[in-house]
Amino acid sequence: MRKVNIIFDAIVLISAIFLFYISFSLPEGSGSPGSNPAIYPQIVLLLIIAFSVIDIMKIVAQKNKEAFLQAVERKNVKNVVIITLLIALFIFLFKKVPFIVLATVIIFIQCLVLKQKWGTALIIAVVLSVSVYSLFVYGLNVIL
Amino acid sequence: MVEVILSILAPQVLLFLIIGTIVGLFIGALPGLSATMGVALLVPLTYWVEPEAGLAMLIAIYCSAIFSGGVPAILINTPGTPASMTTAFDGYPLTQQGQGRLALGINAIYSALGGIISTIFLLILAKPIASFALSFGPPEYFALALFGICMMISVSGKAIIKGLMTGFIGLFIATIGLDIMVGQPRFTFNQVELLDGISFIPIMIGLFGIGEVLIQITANDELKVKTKKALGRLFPTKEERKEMRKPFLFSSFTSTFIGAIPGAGGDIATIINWEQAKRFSKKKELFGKGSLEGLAASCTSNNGVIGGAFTTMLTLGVPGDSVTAILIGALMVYGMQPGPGFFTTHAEFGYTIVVLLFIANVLVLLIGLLGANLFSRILLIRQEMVWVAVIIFCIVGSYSLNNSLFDVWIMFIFGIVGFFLRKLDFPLGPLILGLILGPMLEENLRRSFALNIDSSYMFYLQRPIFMILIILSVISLLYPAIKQMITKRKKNA
Repeated sequence: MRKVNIIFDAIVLISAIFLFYISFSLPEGSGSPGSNPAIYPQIVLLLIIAFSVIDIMKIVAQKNKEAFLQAVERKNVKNVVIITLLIALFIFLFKKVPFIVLATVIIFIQCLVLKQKWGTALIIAVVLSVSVYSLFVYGLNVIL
Repeated sequence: MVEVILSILAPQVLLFLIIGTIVGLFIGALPGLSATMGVALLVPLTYWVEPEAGLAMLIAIYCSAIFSGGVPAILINTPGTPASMTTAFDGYPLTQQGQGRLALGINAIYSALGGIISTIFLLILAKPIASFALSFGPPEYFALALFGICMMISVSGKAIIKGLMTGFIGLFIATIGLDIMVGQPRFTFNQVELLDGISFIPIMIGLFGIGEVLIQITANDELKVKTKKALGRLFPTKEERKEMRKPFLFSSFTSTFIGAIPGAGGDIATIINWEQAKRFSKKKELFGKGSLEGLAASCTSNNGVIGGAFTTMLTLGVPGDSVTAILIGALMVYGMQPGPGFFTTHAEFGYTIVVLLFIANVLVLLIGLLGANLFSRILLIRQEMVWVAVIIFCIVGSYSLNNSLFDVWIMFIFGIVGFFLRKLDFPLGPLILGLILGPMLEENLRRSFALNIDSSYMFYLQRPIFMILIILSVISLLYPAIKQMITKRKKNA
């Protein structure tokens, strides 16, 4: 937990420093009060930097040996990764493959990953994708 | 007045009210779909019917969608609308404790009561509320946003530094896009999609929807088995009602005024009222863990802003929020111009709107309570089915906002970020708070500076609403520390 938290804080810290540096390339505005577009984000970024440093120091000072993932959770990590990749694949193929086909296939695989029976998975996939398609396309005029 | 009531009780009007309530129920419950979208989609359909019937449907959609945003917030920790974010804070923990049905009951009762009270305010105090709302200039908007931002500490729980960190990340994300004052792109890295900024709705859907699903898949499912079996009762007991009375009365009053301020909608009202309910509660430690007072304050504020938004719309012709902006258009198509003379030239129709708002909120109560049993059945569905359904609704819902795949990727990225933030005990509330209030804070701070050409302190000191809000912000920041000091001194003495 400590290690992951420090890595997360470090990413936030480095990003904030980088964005703070970038903010100096913004034009200064007309010179009238309130016209400078860089000042407000700079203040916000400085505070993010300060809070992330404080958080890192707090974590370092703590002796928390709690693991990022508990034993039970470690068993499910594979499923979480596969589901996440399937979501990414869905979004990547969205608009490239017809919605009902794509949604049915992705939901079906997700159900199998989540240990549903073949039959149940197929029914869920077909019913859900057709209902979502009908609701959004015919009910709400959203082009899918 | 009798004529107005009789015209509304016509079967066609009642039918459209019921249709609107049901449509709104679905729209509000689906993440990504908003009351604005529902009303905008159905406005053209209402031109073919009598104005009373058409407006009945639009008002019913508005009231019902705002209320039903709380249903997924309570049951699956995914707010249907931004205004129901704080409903998730206490509603979902109640569901986890086996009291999901009670949370749904409170959502229905207090949303309806909030709506009804604000309608009464509209009827009695329309003019003073409208003039109060009009007295808001950039400094007052800034002070209101600052007052809301002060809540960051409160919603952070014990992880104050982490909360402030995520809150300021939210404030920073809100600065991405074209600068509001000079039109200069900021932090867009030459990406055209970023010029309009990052909408907070896909972020909210990702953090609360996908993030929650990923956490649930990872976690042990023992808890789910418990919540599945225990759905609990629907109605709060006499003691619970007594406990919720104060936050309810306070929230229904303040949310009407906040709703009347153009641009400050249900999301800001719920944030401010949840915070104030916590501040004055004797059971502060329960907030964010299933507090009935917190839930009542959130639900009341949700629908409480509607009466306020209608007040400025009807008496000044200024929309209180995006839905009333569309409704102004609808009224103009019916040949009516909302504004100072509206209640004189179209008095009958003005009162029709008031009565329609009243009935729509009563319908929210009825459908909310009758449907609570049905909604709570979602907890009896296999969690795997709920997960895949939430995933697809998150994807399609965030796409439907602007028909943009960019929004869907944002939702996905923040889903993963949400997973890590939860695992690392970073509170999510401050992030959304920063995103919602950030633009209002920056825009009005800079406008205030621009207006105050001489950089004179008197410019601010002569504005009573600004001063009151700033003092309240300072008090809300210092109060916990002062209280702690007093308690320590008492203990030492």
